[in-house]
Amino acid sequence: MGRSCLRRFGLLGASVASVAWVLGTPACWPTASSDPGLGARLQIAGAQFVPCAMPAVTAGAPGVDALNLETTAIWPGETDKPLDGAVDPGATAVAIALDGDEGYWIVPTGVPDFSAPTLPTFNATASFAPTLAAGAYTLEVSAIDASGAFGAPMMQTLTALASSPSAATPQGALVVTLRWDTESDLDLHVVDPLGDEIFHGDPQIFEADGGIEAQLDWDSNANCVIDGRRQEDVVWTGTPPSGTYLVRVDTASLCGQAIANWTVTATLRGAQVGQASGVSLDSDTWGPHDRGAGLLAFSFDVP
Amino acid sequence: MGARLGAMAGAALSALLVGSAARAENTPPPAADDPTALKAQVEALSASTASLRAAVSDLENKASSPSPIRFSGYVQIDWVLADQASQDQIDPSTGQPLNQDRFTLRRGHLRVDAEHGLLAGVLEIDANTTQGPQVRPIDAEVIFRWPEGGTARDLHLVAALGLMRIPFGFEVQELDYVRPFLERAAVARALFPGEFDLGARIGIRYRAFDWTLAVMNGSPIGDAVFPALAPGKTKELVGRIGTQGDLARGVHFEAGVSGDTGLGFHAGTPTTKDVLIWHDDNGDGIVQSTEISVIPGSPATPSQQFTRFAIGADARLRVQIAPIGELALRAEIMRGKNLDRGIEVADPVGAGHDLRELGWSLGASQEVTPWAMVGVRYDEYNPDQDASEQQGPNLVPIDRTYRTLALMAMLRYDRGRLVFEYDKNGNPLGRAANGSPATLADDAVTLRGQVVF
Repeated sequence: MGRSCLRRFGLLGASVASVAWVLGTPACWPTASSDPGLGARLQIAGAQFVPCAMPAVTAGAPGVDALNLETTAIWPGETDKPLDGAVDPGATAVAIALDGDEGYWIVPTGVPDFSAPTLPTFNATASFAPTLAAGAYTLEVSAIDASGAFGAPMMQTLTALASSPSAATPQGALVVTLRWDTESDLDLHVVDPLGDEIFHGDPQIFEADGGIEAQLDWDSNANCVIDGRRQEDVVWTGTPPSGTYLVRVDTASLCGQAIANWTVTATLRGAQVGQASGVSLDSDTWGPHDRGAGLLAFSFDVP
Repeated sequence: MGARLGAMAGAALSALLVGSAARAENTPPPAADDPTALKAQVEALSASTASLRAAVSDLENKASSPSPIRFSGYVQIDWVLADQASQDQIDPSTGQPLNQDRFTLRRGHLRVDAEHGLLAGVLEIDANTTQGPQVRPIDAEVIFRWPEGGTARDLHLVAALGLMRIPFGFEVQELDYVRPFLERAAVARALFPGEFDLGARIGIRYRAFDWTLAVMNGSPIGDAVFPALAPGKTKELVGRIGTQGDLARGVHFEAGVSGDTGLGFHAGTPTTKDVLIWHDDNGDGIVQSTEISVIPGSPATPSQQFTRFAIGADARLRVQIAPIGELALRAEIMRGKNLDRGIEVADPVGAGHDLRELGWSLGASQEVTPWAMVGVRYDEYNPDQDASEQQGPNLVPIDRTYRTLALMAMLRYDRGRLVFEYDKNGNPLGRAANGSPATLADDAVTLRGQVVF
């Protein structure tokens, strides 16, 4: 009796496991995958992600006539990069992929352009993963006809920069940089040897002649208005005063996030002179967030 | 009410007095010249009168005190064994987890019923974790019933005020712990999300016919935009006319037609300012004049209302098949315009055209001994029968139908249930390789435990 029950429960468990395995198997076709493609290096807004390699080319299938990009330079975390083009008549969709990625994207074709009234067009907005490594990548775009046959892809080489040109760490004799990993509002405070404190409430130190000696470049995610930058820099473009500098990290708000992991570094004439990492918790948001606020990350000396 | 109590007390007193008088008539009368016997008789009558007064007082107290309060409820726990839509990711737009393979408190209801003569009251609370921990009122009614008692063939009148089930169709009004399938058909979840709305209703039942008419806010508690609120003062008029009866020995038939009419709400927009947008087209990190564009501000726009309605028909046949158990067949169809409030919220102002909805379901369930049941249901729901999209140079009509085939097996014991259901879901949310709408993988296997107390 006991063995019979065990066998029955074993069969039931095996059946349930089989169904679960079948349901959990990534589907290429005919059922569209529910994978949103968040792990892919290339992401296309509003398009269907297919977590499979692009199928083989079918002879006679339509091709891609034009592929337009503003630039071939891309960088980690780039968003809203326009990507459009035209395909042969008969194409109803295009497949877009970055070579070596974990899948490709399906974008339906649209109305032909007046300059080529017989050619369907496509429009897409591309984004690139924050983990995209610097280097060369090949963008593949294939036209697909109504029967699902893939035409020969058009290739375009893209060059990935190490970081966004506008978000790169600014250059200066002394640069203190704070970076963190969640969309929360952290603030960098730096106190120079003369006791002047640079932070979002007083972002600049002026020289005697009125010029800017040092400044905070950006108050990221200020008041939880999320800009996604998650980086703040205090930069001395000229010669920084000699003495001891204090670097503090203030957690103004976690903006609904549970924690924020941060790293702060100080670089003097290209050489790192200080570095610290930490975790901001909800308790770190308590108290004032004005001059003097924040947790002391480290101090360093400038000769 | 006081007069009624007085009449009851009077009747009781009369009955007791008559009884007492009858007993007195059976007692031999004392001799008129025996003062001791007369005195004893007077004392006995005084004691009897005092006893009667106490009894009447007790009856009056019992009649005026409220009936006992009854508690009941049920709990449904779901274990989603597998769901093709599940992803170990966060939805970037909502911040909610995309994982569906989890344990969920689907419904935990605690209900209090109180009855007192012609009046009754209901308060039911729902606790669930479908979108995180949530406790909300789900049924709260003040009810007037006439008559107080009676048989099924009497004329019944019920008037209620409060948060109540929307009297439309069969499945919307079917109790969650009675329904053999895990959830309602898509059309019911779309047109009447949450099944409960605030309002007033009157219902009449006479012999085999029942008629219910309700005036409601028009924003059910599951409304995707204004749950349990009323953005417009116009009320929704909802009603159902139904009939039921035994066609033959062991064959019971129920059917009805329903209607819903009212006004939907398109929310206005606030004033916006001009916004300057910089898009680094050439990727050099430097702002150029050609990379700057302006999104012009706009003045506030007023909210608007639009007409909406639904009609529906439902039927159910129950056949006792000895010795296996009951076979229940169900069919329901709903036709609506601009009434989707749950799945693809209908807003003809934004869409530029009226959204015609059509949904139907067919189902069957068979008891297999008192301890088991199997069932199957197929349903379809199209939220926009006139949907179209641009495909290449052509604007082509597309099918936006949601389809579900539910296969159910249930074990029952006493007040408990263990339900295993496989849902084969079809939808228009994905894209096929050729760019046309295709089903986004969404099949699910769920195990539900339920107990009623």
